[in-house]
Amino acid sequence: MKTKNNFLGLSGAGFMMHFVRADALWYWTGTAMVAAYGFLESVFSGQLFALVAKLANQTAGIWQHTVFVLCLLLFIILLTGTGEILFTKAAAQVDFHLRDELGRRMARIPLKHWYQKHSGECMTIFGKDSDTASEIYKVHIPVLISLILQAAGGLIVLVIASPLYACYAFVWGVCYLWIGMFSRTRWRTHSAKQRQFAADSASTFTDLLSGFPVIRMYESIRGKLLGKHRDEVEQSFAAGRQIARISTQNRGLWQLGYTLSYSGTFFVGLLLVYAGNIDLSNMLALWPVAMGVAFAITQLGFFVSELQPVMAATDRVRELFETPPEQSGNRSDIPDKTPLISFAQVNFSYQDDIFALNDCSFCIYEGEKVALVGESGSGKSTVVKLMMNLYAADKGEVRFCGVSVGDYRMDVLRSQFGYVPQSPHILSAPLIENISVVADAPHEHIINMAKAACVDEFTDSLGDGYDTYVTENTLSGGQRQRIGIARALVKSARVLVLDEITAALDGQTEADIYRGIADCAAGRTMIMITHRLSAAAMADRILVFSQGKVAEEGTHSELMLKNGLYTQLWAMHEA
Amino acid sequence: MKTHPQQNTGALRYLLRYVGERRLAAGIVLSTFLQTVRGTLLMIAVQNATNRLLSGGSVWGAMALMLAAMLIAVPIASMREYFNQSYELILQKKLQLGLTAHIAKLPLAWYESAKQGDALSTYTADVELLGRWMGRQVPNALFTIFQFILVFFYSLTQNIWLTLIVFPALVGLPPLILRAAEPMKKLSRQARAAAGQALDKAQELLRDPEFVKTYCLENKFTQRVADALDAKRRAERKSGIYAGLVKAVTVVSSFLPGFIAVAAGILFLRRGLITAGFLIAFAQLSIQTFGSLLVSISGFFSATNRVSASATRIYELISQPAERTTGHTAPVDSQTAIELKHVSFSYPDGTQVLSDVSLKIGTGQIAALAGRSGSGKSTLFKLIMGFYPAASGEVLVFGRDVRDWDLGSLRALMAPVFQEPALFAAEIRENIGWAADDASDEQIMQAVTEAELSEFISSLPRGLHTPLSEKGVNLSGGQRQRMGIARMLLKDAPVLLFDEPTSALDSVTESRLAQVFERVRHGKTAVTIAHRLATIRNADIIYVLEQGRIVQTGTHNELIDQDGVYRSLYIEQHEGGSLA
Repeated sequence: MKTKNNFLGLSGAGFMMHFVRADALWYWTGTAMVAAYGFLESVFSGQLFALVAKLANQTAGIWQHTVFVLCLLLFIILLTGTGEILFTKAAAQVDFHLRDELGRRMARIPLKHWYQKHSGECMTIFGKDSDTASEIYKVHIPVLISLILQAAGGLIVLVIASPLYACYAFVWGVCYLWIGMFSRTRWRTHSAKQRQFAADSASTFTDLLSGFPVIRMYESIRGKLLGKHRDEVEQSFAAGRQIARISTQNRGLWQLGYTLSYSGTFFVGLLLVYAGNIDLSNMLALWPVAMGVAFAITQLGFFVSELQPVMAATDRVRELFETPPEQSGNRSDIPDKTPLISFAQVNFSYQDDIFALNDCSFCIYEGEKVALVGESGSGKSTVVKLMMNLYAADKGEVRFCGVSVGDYRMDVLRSQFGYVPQSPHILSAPLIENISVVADAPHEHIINMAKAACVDEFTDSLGDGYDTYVTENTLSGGQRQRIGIARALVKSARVLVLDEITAALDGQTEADIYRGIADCAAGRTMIMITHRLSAAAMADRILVFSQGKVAEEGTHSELMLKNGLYTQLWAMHEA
Repeated sequence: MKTHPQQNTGALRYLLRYVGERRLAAGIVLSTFLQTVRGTLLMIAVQNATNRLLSGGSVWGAMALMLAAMLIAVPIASMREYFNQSYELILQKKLQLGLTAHIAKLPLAWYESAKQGDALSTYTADVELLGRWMGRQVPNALFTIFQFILVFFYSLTQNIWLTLIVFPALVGLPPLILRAAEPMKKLSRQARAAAGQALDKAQELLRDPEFVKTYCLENKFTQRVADALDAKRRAERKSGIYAGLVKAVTVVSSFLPGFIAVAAGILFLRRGLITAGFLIAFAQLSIQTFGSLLVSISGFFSATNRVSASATRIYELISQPAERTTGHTAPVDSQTAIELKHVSFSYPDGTQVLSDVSLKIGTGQIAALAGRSGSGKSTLFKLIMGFYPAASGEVLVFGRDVRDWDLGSLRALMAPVFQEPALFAAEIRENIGWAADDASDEQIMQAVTEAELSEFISSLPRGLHTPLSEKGVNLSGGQRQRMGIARMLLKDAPVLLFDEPTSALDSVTESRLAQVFERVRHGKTAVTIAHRLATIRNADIIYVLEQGRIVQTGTHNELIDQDGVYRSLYIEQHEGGSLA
């Protein structure tokens, strides 16, 4: 819990308020105009009561007073109406600004950070938490200003009319102010818990959805996952109960504050009348104002407490904003140096304890077809990710054309690679869009590349061919892989990286795809991760990975002569 | 389920019945009612005090009444807050638990057609909105309605004529406000749709950040989010002018009753028909009560509008027909593990996947399905697992038609290994151990060892307690597959189903696993889908599928001698893919 140097636990408010800069002038103008309503209303009611008293006593000046009251009403209507327009527009602007920034920040979070967070949790932050956090400028700041205006405006009126009355209202308000603040720390703690457990349960819900077939086949996994979800919901509920208890208590105290403000100011007003300090009709006009002052000041304390759940949400939004974004260099030209890619004594681990590369060194030259082979978990996929600077090496240097990958501007470096992962991501969108999304290319080109990747072998079996709406769940592994390949071909990058692309494909389709790739990407550098050694054997050079480093390298025949790891793999393969 | 709602309110009613908690709901009504009663008491007290004051009498009695009326508000307000909040919390809890439990019972067909993002936003946003509506907006609306009625009757007892003059004006006002708010409805609907869209687009950004980054789609995707947000902004800004109008009308309406009361009251007062005290109390209450009445009634209408859309979405999800839970629980024929008789099947969208497939796999046999991508092998598995019913023909498992089986008992007999093992954000121990009820550490370690994972796990400082990321993205593809295999081993079922279990494994690990399968398979039935024909060479029987039909049957040696699909598949593979 970040509560150091945190005045009343409200430091997050300042953070949220800087989004208001998007439309500061109109936001503050509108807010002030709307917020003035509370104060003006109390003045207006007072004037109305005074008018009634005058009427009852047949005092002089009734007409003038009536006209004044009417003008006041007109003024209030115009002011609040216009204020509301300005405020609504400005708030919409600020809302846009907040979410847009948040989206852009999310897109730039380094992968290493990503995988420590659950996507369900990120969605909760983008949706629920930022909704709650935005209440600060949409609800709470206007309330605060309205309270301040009511207190300050009322005090000015009272000081002029009856300093004693003003004094009472002010002192009473300040005395009660503290009561509202008592629960603020507890409120914050429980709110933070409630939100965390709610995000956890959303994550488990996501797990349940994405593992659906497995859950249906493994009854006990279903039971355990539902149990985990139940625990999280119950914990969130328990924190909610604590909050309900606090707010029940607070509600009572609030009502007490209101009661005492209401009757206290009435009582003191009467005393002042008896003491001859003010006359009765004045007292009736001032009473609502005095009550407004006393009540507004007591409210400030409750305001601080009620802001705590919003602050708990703000903390979560803020944490995402404060995650350092991916580091990008600024070099945008690529020197004409060889080798194309080089690794020098690179160490890397995904988490503190899952090591992936250990003193890994190798080179890849322009135009080469290189196969990466080796046991699963030996670091083949990892080196590819480091090349594209998806992750930064913990130690050692990864270079592209002689320059450290971290020095390039991110998009410049990544545009050099056409990467096909093991299970390509499918957007919930028409199939064609799933391919065309990666580059602005003419339709014809996209269709040609899709053909080269054998995508059209299965489009016929889909309802609407290329226009069929597809999702992650509707396509088979092999179909997804072909879409991934089509994407890489459409991108037509300098280096083609294929990570186990044909694992879910039969031999015929595999051969067709390789033919397609050869046609479309002739002469380009190609890095191929594979377990099918028959495919690897065709490569110009083979890097054999073992335990996070390159154990052997050479052509197929060279490696076979070495009688090492590769020969062993082949023996198994042939068996 | 039981009732099918004709319209949105039907869904709302269904969900409120679903949540139940009648006592809490009654508590909300009661405490709200008490609060309005005490509001009326206060009005009487203020009236008395003012009258005494204006006539110069003693006000202390009236003051005491006033204080009493205000002090009883303290426990009442607390009580009201308690009931409101408790109901909101319980509603959210029950719906979230209910939704999740229900989704876990839905058929695979739902999963394959549903958008995950929609289900998630129903689970989070819609449930929250509904809870807030029940816990806040409804009690507030109740409050104003009660207050309206009480004040009306009290005023009648005090002065019929003044009441009859003021109240008709009140009745006319809510329609006026609603009228002014009418254009806002469409805009707020637009804004809400755009907000949903933005969430959806953000999810695209979040689901696979690696894809976004490798294709430099950050700008493109954030721009899509921004476009949706912009639509929301435009709708909201456009609604500003109406918001201002509504505000102005609301201010007028909240003062108008007081004004009319005062204007009419003057006449009554001059004739001595009412007291000035009553007039002040009445005017004050008119402003306080009716102003807020009008505001909350119009707010309530727009909130209800919004909430009924959420309720419909929750209802649709929670009333999706679940998979059947009836059927026989025991096998009939223990000799034939799996038998298909003239089975045809096509997916709901009409694509024919299997036609007239017949096969028979005896208990203890090793069978394999071979064929090109898209030949119907995986679909056949789904039929055996009871995920889809055959369109015609029979699918028999241990002699009983899948349609007659209790699906839970049927699936308990099978341990499948999927292409993607679906790993969760939990420890490795949980990810594997959950596959069996109460698996001990020894059992888990044994499964881990047999799945060739022990070397990897012992290299981790936290061993089995290492947490995995969502979907196990911090593992390699081969490690993930072996996790799935460890699960299968732990489940220890009589029928093993392998859908490409080793596609991401190197040949060393693969052959080691083949030995493990050989061992664990003892006495069990195994069915394997494989593209790498080498892995199914030892199968007792191989069925070769082509476009949804079985075109060849036999052992590896028999099939390789025939001039057919199997041989050409085999030859293609042994030549390998050729790099240009």
